[in-house]
Amino acid sequence: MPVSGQIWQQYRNLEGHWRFSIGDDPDWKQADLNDQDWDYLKVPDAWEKQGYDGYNGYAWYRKSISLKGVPQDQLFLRIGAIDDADEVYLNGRLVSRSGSFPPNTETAWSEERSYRIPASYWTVGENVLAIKVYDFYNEGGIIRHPVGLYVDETVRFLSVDLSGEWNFTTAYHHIREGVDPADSKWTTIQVPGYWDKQGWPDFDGAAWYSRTFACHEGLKGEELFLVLGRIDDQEIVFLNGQKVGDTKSLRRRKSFWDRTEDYRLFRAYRLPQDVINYKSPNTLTLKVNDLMGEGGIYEGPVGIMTRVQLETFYQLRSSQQGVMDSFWEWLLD
Amino acid sequence: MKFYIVIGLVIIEGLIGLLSGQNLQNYLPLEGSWKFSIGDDLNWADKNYDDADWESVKVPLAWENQGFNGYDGYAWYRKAVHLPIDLKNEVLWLELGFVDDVDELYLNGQLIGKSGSFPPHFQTAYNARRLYRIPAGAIVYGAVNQIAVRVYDAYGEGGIFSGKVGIRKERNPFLMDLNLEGEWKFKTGDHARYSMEDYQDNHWASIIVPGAWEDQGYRYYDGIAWYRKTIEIPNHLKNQRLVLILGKIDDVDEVYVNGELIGQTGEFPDGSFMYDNAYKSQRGYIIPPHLLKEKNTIAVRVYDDQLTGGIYEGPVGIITQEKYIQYWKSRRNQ
Repeated sequence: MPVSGQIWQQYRNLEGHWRFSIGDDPDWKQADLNDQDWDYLKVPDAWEKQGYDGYNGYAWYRKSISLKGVPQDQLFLRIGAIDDADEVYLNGRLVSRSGSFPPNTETAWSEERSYRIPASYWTVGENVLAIKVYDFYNEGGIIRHPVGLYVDETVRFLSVDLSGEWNFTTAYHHIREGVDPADSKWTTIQVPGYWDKQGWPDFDGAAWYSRTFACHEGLKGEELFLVLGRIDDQEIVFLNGQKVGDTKSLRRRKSFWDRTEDYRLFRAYRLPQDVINYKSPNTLTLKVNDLMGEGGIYEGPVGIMTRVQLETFYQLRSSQQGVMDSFWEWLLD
Repeated sequence: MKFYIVIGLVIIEGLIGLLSGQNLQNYLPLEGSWKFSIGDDLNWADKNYDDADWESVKVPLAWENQGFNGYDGYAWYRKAVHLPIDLKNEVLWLELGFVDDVDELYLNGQLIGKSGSFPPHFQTAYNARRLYRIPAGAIVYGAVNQIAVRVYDAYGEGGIFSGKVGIRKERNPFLMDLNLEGEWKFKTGDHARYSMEDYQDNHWASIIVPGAWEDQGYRYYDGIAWYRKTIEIPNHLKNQRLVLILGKIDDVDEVYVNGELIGQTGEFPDGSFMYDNAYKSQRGYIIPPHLLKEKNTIAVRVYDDQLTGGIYEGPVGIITQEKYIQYWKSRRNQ
């Protein structure tokens, strides 16, 4: 298992009793739904162990979260596992999903969920988190710890946060470089997150990621690093049309390296200062190749760090886990 | 021998699952005197068959203790019961206690359940408690109904020999808004087009649902088979969220409405099939409202690993989501 690049700080524990109903209705995602006659179920634990023995199919969980103010930090909903597939809504708006409902049923029962919640979805006062679950076999529901809202502390080490929505396409697998992001074949994807869970199940091969970002003038003169968390399996990185680097340059042992191990590498690329725009938007483009299984930029942090930020982050990470990939050492020389 | 033990376990496990899942109360005890004849004739299942000259025996008690000492082979039991009209709002089960070795239960001439297997592929089920759900369609309400039990005993004691015998009703009757028990189209084999709305199934065979396909002409069939039925949604159910109830299916299934997969229970064999407990799960599939039209085709793909196969126990029908939720909530609160 890869070590996590994220540092989780709990913001609110959501374990305990949630409103629960079997069945399905799109109205159940709405914050103002009257769910007073719904059952209570303990979360996390399979519904089979709580009186719904033998139930398979759709069910919804609802939890009201009271906030005195809108969270200043980017919050993530973390759930240990949901059996089999889910869609998460906050105040009626889709946050994210894992697995897939019929007719394209796909289980994600053993996967930990960490869903980035857009800050604009929160309101002061009552917020309602609604989770639609589909179970087609054996145990069902929110089955594993943790269940809560978390802040990813690594965001504090970013000068530019590049997580969130990116443009994405699988249409240009044959193109080596120089894809035009303006082309209509692009759709969007959440980063970090496997593409297999976001509408491209079982896709192996090359896909392109792209997004624009602003680099404020205060960063001019700073040595900047593009941190891309972890990627399954290899990538080539372009900034404003110029190649910045590729996975090969990150491998610690150049010979005898098994490329199927690349997905474990933590990604950080030094950005050439003469390529960065400080007054106009920058375009970051990645070609990602997935050898097998799940693919994509699957784990954060994703963003731009200064040398000081990267060094601090490195020290924190290596002291916490004692495991860090050795590319840091030459990168920070 | 090993195979034999596995079958025994499957039967016992199945019944335990059933008993814990259903909460039944006594309605009409049927212990006592039943009509009885040795021999075998399928006409004896008939409602109108005249059994006036049959012997009377006590149930439950082995027939060896009632003048049929040393008899092994086929015998029939018959009992007439009046079922009043108000039972229409109930779900009834018939408990037969323990039967040595094999039995088939008929109500008004319709086969509604069986345990074990008659010769030439004899399998005993003497240690399984018999509890059969009675399909509403088999009952004549407000009239006399004829129960007939065909029994085969291989050796030793024979017949309905112990346990409780009687009619039970569900404490929390799970009544369909639209009953879909009865004739469905049926075909063994597998093809993607069998799920499709415009597929012509005229040439398919008919099968009674619920009921194992083994009892309906597919005696030793294991593998994939399809069920199809075209239905209209009555006006009073339109504009409501509906759930398709398919009772219990042995082993796993996929359900299509107008060509679209709406759900499944268990997984179809994909290299290594893990025989599991899917056959015990109650099937309820929420129908996405946008799929429903004037005429609707339900197609059910079933895979059976071994022994009993198909939609083997009801209820089968359509119920509103609201009632379905209430049903599960009251099950939980029991």
